[in-house]
Amino acid sequence: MLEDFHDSRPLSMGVELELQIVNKRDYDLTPCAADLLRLLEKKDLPGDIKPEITSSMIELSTGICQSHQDVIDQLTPIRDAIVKAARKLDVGICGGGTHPFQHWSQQRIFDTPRFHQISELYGYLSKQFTIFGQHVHIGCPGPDEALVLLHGLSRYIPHFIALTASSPFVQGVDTGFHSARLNSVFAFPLSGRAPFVTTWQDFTHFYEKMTRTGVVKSMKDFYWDIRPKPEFGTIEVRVMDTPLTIERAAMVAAYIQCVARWLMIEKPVRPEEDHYLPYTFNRFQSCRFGLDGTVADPVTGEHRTIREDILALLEKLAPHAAELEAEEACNQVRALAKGQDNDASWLRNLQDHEQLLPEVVRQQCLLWQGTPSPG
Amino acid sequence: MPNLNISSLLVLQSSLLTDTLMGFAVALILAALCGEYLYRKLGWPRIMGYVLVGLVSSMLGIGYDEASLPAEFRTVIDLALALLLFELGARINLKWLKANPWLIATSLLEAGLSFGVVLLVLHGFGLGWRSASAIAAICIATSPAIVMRVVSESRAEGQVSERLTLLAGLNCIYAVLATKLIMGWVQITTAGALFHTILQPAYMLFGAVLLAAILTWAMLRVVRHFKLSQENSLLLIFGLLLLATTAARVLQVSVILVPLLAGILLRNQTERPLIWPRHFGTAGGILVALLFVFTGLSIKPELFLTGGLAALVLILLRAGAKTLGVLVFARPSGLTWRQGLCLGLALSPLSAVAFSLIAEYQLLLPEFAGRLAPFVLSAVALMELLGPLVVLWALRRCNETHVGDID
Repeated sequence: MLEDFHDSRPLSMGVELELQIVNKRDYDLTPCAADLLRLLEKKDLPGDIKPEITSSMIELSTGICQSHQDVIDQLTPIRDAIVKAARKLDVGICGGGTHPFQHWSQQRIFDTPRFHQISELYGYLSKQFTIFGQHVHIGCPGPDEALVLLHGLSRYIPHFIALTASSPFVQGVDTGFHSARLNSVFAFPLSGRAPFVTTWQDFTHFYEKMTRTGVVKSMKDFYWDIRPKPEFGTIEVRVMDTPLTIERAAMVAAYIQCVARWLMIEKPVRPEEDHYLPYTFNRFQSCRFGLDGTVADPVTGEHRTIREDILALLEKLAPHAAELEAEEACNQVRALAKGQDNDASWLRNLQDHEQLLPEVVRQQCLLWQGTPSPG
Repeated sequence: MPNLNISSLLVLQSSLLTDTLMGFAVALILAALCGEYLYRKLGWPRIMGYVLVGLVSSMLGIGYDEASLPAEFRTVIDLALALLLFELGARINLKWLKANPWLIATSLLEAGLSFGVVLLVLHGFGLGWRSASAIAAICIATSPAIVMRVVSESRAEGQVSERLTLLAGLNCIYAVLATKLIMGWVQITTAGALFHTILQPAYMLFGAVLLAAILTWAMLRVVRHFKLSQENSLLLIFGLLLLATTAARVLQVSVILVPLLAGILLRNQTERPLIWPRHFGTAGGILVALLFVFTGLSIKPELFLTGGLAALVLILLRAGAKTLGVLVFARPSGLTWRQGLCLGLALSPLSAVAFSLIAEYQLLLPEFAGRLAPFVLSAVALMELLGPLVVLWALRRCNETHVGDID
């Protein structure tokens, strides 16, 4: 049975970040999640810190946030507590959508029944799933509104991907992608976009048909780019790589919040199934080329770079950004759209200079701590 | 002796040499097979097979003792040990001690307790304070060879492995320093020279630090300008390590301390990660395997008996002391009780370093060494066999070994 869609405050936010735990010798992933969680157990922090599928990964989440500043205020103490605990264990913590050189066969599955079950089902995929994403929840006034918002936001997924892309390297090689992480997600059978239904009744119907096939047991089995989360009364945007800093994570959350408010209040377009025609093309472009990718406008058929598309959208978002106190976040988005390096480019430039991926990871750790990286 | 002339003597000698070489060759082949057998059938570390074959060969009379060890073999042992010590040192991050001072407390406590317990046990068995303290000092050290070998062979990753290498590196330093001090103390009462008590250890420490610093300086250059994955750079590294250990031998400073300190200095001087293949690649791996075969060959079976009960009690209580020392601060230092227990037990191996320290006594104070050797050597002989298994067991219990385990 599909859970009822709970109440949430419209446009409230929650941010989840999956983080890498690395050793400080060769900066490979190290299975210390349980040790870190134990040290953080007694700390009084906003939000939550949880284990993830492999034991060299942890997930942090904020509580319910209203504004950009709110997200920063919650992420900062959590980040600081994790960094402090990590120092005690002599391990490093960093962002980034992939670990640049880890080998999936060496990952260990975190010791819980659910994780072992997933591991058994998906085999090597679940270990290849050692990828690190950011999820943003947006509160919705009701279940039907949530589904309409979901389909509205789908059009802007390339923005969210390009702004946070931070996974150019996989298993020691430069993939040429800005976000190679999403390529791993696509390997899962139930990944991709949600079906085009715009009422909760239709969605429940779809869900029941799916469970009847035995393919799905809970909402957790869908690895969609955006999925409803009835238990929180939110929709969850899941396409982002974990950025290299909490500031960028907060930025993209606030940007999504602005887009959501614009879609909810101005209702600029009515969602249609046909809007998904260029969906995978656009998504590929943003994964592959980042902000320089080209997207096709599903309504007009016009082609633009993601940079141009973002700058055009920012114009429309301005009053909403003011209302949500998200101007600072929008300024950061604008700077990126105008040519500042995204995280993927930063990583690539660093590797060009250092020619040593473990050194790149070391500097990723410094960046995550909030310490400016040397060189 | 009728009909014995020079030529027949020559034939006899060369056939003896051939015998030794033949025996040695057979020992190598058997070591490889036995190591593989233990690994495949029981999942045990291969080095146990090496030691076992060495031991059996020495029972059959193919073994040697320290004194008759051919110089070429000595070189192999020195180089392999230097390699392992350098690798171990390069894993030690001194900043960790600052970030987590409970580790310093743990290190001092486990070393102090194991020294104290061994001292009291041996005194209880009737040994004089001086002999007992000399052995106790040697027994502070956890075998860096066994620890490094098992950790890297099982590709162990995690808190217990990291702390195991850290504590083993530190207690190795304590053992060398304590041994030098006790050597001085023994000499002042036997020979009555002030020089030996103060100046000798001070000279040794200063010399070791100086040599290590020079070696580090050279290694830094190698790390910066050469690709460590290339065989050519490995030749350079082997050459430097061998030069440093030989210099240490000539200058009579500790051959243990020099590579270990050099590793520590190198690691803590550069932020950029040091990436090299395990034991510096296949060539280093073979040297390390040979080290274990040789240690096995040099264990004489009668050693198990001479130390007898005292050696067995010594090993058990020493392991207990180390475990207790780790457990006291396990929780505040960030470990679970289980991790603390495993870490403590994993600190119990004794081997090459203990051999090397006893050899130093044999060189300087042969008579005194004669009183120590039976206890130490039989304890070492036992732990050489059991040590790898204990370490592997402990790492497995904490889920730190690789899924496929040993490769």
